[in-house]
Amino acid sequence: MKVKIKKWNAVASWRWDVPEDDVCGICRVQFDGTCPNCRFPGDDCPLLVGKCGHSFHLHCVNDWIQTESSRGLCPMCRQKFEFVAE
Amino acid sequence: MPEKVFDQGTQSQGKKRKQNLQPPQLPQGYSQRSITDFFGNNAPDSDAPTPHPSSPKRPRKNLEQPEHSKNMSTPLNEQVWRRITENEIVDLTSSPPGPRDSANPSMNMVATKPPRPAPFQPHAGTPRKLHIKNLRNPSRIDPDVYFSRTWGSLEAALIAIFESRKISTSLEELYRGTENICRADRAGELYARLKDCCSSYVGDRLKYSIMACNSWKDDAVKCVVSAWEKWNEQLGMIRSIFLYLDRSYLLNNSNSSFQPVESTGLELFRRHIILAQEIETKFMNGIMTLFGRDRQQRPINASLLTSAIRMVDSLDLYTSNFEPRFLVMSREYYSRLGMLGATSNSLAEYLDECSQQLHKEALRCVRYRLDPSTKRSMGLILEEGLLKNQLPILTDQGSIEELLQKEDHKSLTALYSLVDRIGEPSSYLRPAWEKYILAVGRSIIEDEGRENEMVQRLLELKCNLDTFVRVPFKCDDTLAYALRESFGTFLNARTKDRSEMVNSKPAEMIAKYVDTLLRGGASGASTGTPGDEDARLAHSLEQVLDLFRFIQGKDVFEAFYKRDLARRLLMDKSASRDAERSMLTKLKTECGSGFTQNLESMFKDIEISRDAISHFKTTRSHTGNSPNVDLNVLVLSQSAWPTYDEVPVIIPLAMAQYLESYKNVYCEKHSGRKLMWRHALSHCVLRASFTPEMKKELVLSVLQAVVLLLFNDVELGTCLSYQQIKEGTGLEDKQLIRTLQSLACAKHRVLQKQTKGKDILPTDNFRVNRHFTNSKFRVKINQIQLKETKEEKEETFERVAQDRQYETQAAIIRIMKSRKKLRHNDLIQMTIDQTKNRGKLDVPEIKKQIERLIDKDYMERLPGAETWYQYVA
Repeated sequence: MKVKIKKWNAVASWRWDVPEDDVCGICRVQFDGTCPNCRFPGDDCPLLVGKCGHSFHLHCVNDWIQTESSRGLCPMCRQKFEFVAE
Repeated sequence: MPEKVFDQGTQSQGKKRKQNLQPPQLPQGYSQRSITDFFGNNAPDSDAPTPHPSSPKRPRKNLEQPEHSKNMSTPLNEQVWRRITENEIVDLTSSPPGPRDSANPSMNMVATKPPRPAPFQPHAGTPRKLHIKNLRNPSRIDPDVYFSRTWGSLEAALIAIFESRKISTSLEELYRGTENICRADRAGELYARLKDCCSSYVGDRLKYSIMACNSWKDDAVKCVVSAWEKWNEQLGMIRSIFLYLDRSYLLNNSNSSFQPVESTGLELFRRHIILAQEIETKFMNGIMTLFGRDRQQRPINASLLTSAIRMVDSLDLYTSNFEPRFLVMSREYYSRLGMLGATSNSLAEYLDECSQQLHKEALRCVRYRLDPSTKRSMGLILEEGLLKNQLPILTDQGSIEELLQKEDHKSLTALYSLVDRIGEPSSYLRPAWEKYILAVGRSIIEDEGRENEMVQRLLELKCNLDTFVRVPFKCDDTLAYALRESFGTFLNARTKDRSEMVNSKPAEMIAKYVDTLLRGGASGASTGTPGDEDARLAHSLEQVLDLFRFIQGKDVFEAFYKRDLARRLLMDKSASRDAERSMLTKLKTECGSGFTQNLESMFKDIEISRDAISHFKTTRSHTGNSPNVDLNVLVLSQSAWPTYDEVPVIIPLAMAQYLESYKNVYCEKHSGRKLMWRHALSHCVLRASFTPEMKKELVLSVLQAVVLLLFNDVELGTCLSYQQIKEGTGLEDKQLIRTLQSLACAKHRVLQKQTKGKDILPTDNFRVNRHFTNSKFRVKINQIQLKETKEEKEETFERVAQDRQYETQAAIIRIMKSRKKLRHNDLIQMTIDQTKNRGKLDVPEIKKQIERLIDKDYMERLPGAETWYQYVA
């Protein structure tokens, strides 16, 4: 018997490409979870990966950058915080 | 000498009347008094014969002020005339012929007006003198003689009437005689004699004629009524003869011993006949017997009964003699009937009987013209006898449940309206109603054998119960409320085996039912509903939602619904996307957006994946190395979907490369993301040629496909051992066994197992089934993927329980964070309020979570008698 694949309906799931159990440096919540103000993880509460190598919840780091004292620096390594464009 | 002044009109009038009536004889001395009586009694006019010459009542004014009348000026004349009317009127012109021809000259009356000059009469005309002469001679017959003679003929007439003979004297003569006697002021005497005469007749002859009647023993009512009718007839005659007596004397007599002839007659009848002990008892009993017979639906003479009632009524005995007896008798009858009927019949029969009796009795009251007050009392008696006294039987739970079970709407309607007469029906019916709902509901829920039909049966039950409320119970609010409450109670009842959670079976089954509906599997579920398929589906969903509202464990529903939805979306099994959407909207309005957020993002993932795959197909990596496979990829955001275990499986190299290229394209587009394949959820279509002529398309799960693809590499008819397959696919035992089972032991056997039996053993060998046949070109073998395994179900329950704990903790923390300090009871209450949309929590469960949070230092107890909690920041 010969069988040939005709159609393939694949299913995949995605998660953030960060080590598992890693937490956001600001809110200390897992990246797979949400920032404290969100209820649903995933696209609703995305991550922001900094060029310095530190990632945060978008909402968390946004709040931080907007404070005066941050001076636009990464809260972890005090380098200028720039994120990797998608 | 009597002097009268008349104006011309009155005089001529008097003359005219005189011509009309010619009394045969009038003894002297009658006329004057009777006229006076007449006017004392305000009789309209007079045509009395000659007044007595020496009448003591003279119009004094005329004598005192004759000059007024002499002048005949209009105002004065009027005045005088009025005075005369006030005192007396004397007709001076009439004079009967015959015996009065020899007129007594002294009877001549002349109204003389001596011309006396008035002090001041500006309009006075020529003075005139008016002489009036009485030309008639008064009768000389002695009044007593006249009286006795007339009475003689009257009495004879009366006896003739009593004996139903012809009256010898002419009626007019009799009438006139009465009239004359009355005018002679002997009406009282006449009345007394009349009364005596009638009284002796009624009390003696009539009475004994009744009792001598043939049917007296059996049918007293008939005898009395016929006597009554006869007496009424006779009385009519007597009344006509004595009409003058009636009108002139009796009617206006305030003395109560002088009643008009008719009432006198009635009174005599009443006293002598009806109230006579021997007749009254028999008569009344007779009426009661007639009623009794009528109630037993035996034939009776209805008109006789009607006349008897009318007679009793006109004799004024209705309220005094008839009604009390009737009511007593009815009460006895109906309490006996109630006792008998209630104990010997089934409830349905008894209800029917009661309604009929009520109806019939009302009709009876109308037919026999009973008084409205009697009708009212009868209503009360019936209610008491048939309903109130039998209340324990009427509201017997067992019987009512039986009616409900039989869906006996007629009896239930009757029951409701009957109970409505004696009080608040819901208060009587509610216990049985609730008990019935609970019993039926429980039996459905606990019927494990028919678990799959549970929702269907619940829906039917709900529909039936709603009909009960709507039709027989007339939309009774309390009962409708009881229905909702009881429904909720049994749906959320705790079961023994899962005591820490409320019974989640209904929630699970409802979710499954919705799944079947949305897959289009149960389009015939709601047969009889009009409209196209979409409308039917919408209707069915609406019904299910009705059940869903009762469910307290909404989180269980959500978990199962989510799992089923995921399966529908992944396998593309949804019958209608619109229906899915509308269901989602309904859930959203029912439970809030938090409830459906995950479900919505599942839909969103599907949409995004569609875009992604079309994007992929335009890229170079796709066009470059496409292995001629129609690829479709669904990318899920992990958090929104149910969790699936990762299944290690070896994918054919070409396919794996192809998938890898997709992965690269995807990750290029979405940086920072990692894709993981969920092969257990994937499915594919394989073209298989069993023999050169037999080509089929097989719809398979990827796991099944991987197994089948292994047979590509071996010759036809060669067996692969279990171990070989395991190595080739890299599947774990559990999954492999399941997969092989679905291929070799299920409905469509693509593979052949060499040993018989349903179970797959590690020693088994498999080969392709050369004799595979199927009428369809495209064969779906991936049913196994759609099925839920027992482990999955357990896992879902576990997750729900876990989620519930987290939900509870989150709710408690939210509350504590906003309140800082809170009393124990308030906290419990607020937690329940916050989480009730997702599922109702138990107090012990909340307490447990509070303990845990205290352990984790999220909050602490404050010292004191009352339990206070404080949030720890």
